[in-house]
Amino acid sequence: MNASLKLTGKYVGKHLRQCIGVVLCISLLAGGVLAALLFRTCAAATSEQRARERHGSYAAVVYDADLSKIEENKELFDTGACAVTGILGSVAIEDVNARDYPYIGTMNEDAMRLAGVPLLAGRLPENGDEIAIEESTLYKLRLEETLGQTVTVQVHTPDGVQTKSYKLVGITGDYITRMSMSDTQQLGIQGVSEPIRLPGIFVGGTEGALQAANVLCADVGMMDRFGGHPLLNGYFEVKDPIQIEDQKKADAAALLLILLFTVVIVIGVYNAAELSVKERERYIGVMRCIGMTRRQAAGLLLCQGVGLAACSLALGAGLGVGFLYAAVGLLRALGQDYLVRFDATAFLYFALLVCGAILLAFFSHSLKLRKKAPLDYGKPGAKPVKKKPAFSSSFPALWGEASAHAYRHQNRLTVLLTAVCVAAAVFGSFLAELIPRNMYQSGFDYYQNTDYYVSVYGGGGFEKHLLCGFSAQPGDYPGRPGTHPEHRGVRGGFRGGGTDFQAFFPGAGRDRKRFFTTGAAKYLF
Amino acid sequence: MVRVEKLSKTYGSGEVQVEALKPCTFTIGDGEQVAVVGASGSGKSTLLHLLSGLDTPTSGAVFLDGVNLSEKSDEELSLLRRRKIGFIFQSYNLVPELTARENILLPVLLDGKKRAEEFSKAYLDEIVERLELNDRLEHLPGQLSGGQQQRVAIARALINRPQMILCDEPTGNLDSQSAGRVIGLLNDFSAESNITLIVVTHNEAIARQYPRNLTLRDGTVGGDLG
Repeated sequence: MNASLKLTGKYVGKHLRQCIGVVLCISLLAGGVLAALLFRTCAAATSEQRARERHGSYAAVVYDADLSKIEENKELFDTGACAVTGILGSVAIEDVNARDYPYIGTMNEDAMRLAGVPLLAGRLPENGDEIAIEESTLYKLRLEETLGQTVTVQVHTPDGVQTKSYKLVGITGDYITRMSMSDTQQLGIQGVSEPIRLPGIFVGGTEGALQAANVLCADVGMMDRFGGHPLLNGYFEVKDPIQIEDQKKADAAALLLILLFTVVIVIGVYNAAELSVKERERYIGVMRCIGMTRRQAAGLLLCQGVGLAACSLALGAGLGVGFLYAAVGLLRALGQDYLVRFDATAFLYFALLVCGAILLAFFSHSLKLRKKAPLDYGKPGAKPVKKKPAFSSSFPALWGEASAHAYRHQNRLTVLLTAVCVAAAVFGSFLAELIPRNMYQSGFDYYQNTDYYVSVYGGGGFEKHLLCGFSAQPGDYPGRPGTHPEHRGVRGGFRGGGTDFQAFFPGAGRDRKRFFTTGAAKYLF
Repeated sequence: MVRVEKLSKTYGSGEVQVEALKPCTFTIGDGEQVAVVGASGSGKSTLLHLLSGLDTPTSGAVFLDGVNLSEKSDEELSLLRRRKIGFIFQSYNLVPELTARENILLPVLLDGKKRAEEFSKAYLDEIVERLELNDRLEHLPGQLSGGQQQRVAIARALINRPQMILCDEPTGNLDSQSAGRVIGLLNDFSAESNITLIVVTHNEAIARQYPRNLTLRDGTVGGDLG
């Protein structure tokens, strides 16, 4: 073994650049597979986390909700969107499309405080004949800001159209969403039956009516925080079929590719390792002539193989982890949140792949050498001489000729193809990750006879997006189509509670995440 | 003593069968110097490989000091080549990453620590001195001339005090002056240490310097001029 180590050391010293080249070649190939495997692990961990969030996002109606308890949890509404109100119907306005009818609903001081709606003038309505109107709706109704005037409106309710006259007793600030207006608009554009709106007109006389809260929370137990009687019947379900299902497909495809390319990589690593053995074959033959035993020759090859494997493992692992961080970093830079997880199985697979392919190359080469006389080492194996067949224009014959001429390039070609395959595998997995993840489909049920809805939207697990979902400073979202100038940059809330609607939120880039990864629900844990 | 009995070697089978060495019998005594002469492809190298146990005969046997090489294991044959046989090749066959000194000591290195301790440094110095390699010992083969490389190969063949030296065209790559010097050195060492010397050559001038010639023609030992 001493002789083998010494001779291998001498060989490496003399052919350092060549050895580095072989190690680098193997490390790049194997590191690519390791990166793909680790990337898959990270993708699975990220999906799992998102799935947990999804499954933990319940929404429920809490009847007879305890407003004091809602208030205790008011900080939820500061970071997420909320709506505390009841919806009675919509109010028709002349020359205005039905889609833009303002909603009429209920409101009391507690609800106003919770929702952060200021009273600009007058007071809140105290009975069924009185009305308070938000400033922008007043303008929309073409009414003067005169308290005490009679306002006649057509209310569209599920029971039909009713014309009612109210006394204007108060003017409130705009009851706006904590989502940017452009987001609300977007909800309306994306094939949703209704854009999301909050009532701009409030009536009194709601004593005795059930107070209710619509809550989207991380677990069912969370609803107890609001008192009353949680009812999961009317739950707000967050589904993310695109995120989960498509990712499963992408993951399966990535796994298949990894397995497929593993075969190619084994061939590439095998070839690289075998080339390095062939380099020494002739001199091993010489040493066999002057007295090296087969065992010593095998030891020599083993030393080289183990050294090659050890260096390739170390460098390959480093490269693999480096590739992983580069890919995750790039994804994060593109706006995808990503968890980094290391899986021992991936490293084990990688180690088996590298060691297996290298040792297989050395072992099979040792076997080949056994069949040769030592002085023939390094020479092409003797092939049985065949009589040259007459020229044939058949495809197999022509293909054979072409292959024979291309034979000398086969190793380079194999390495090149392998590299391309690894790149395709890694970047294939990577590209799969670029599939929009945060598409949610939501359903929202309508509840009658409710005084209050508390809608807390969130459920994301990524803390750094905690403050997303609303704009903190004016001009945060300049130039966004549909952004109401007065609402731009103003803290708002989700306009929930209303007639039946389904919302489909595709979003894009930061916007999609900003809305869906609000940390509101997380606060509730 | 080397005894060859009905030794033959055939490569391939069927239509492509080649009889590289036809059955032959001869004996070479201890310290004897023999030239094996013949044209290319006549079977000279095949004979040399069979004599050293590098190749197995199709029929017949080679006896070295009465021991049948065919009955020896590969391990035993390797040890035999290392300790009793020295090899010199036409293309020197020095290990390129080892210095001249390391190449010379390679058989000792292969023999392990115990043998290395037994090895006499004085003997190395003596060989090196006689082969005029003193100032070339730390050079790599690529930094030596053809003649110097062949002298390193001779030193390597001698280092384990072999019983027999087999030379395959040792002067084939050398100019006439270097060739004469190499042959002279080989003959001197052989004579002084009673080493059996078998030199394969197709150079008749060199062959004539040896007291005994074995002529090979198409695999047949045609004339034993001894």
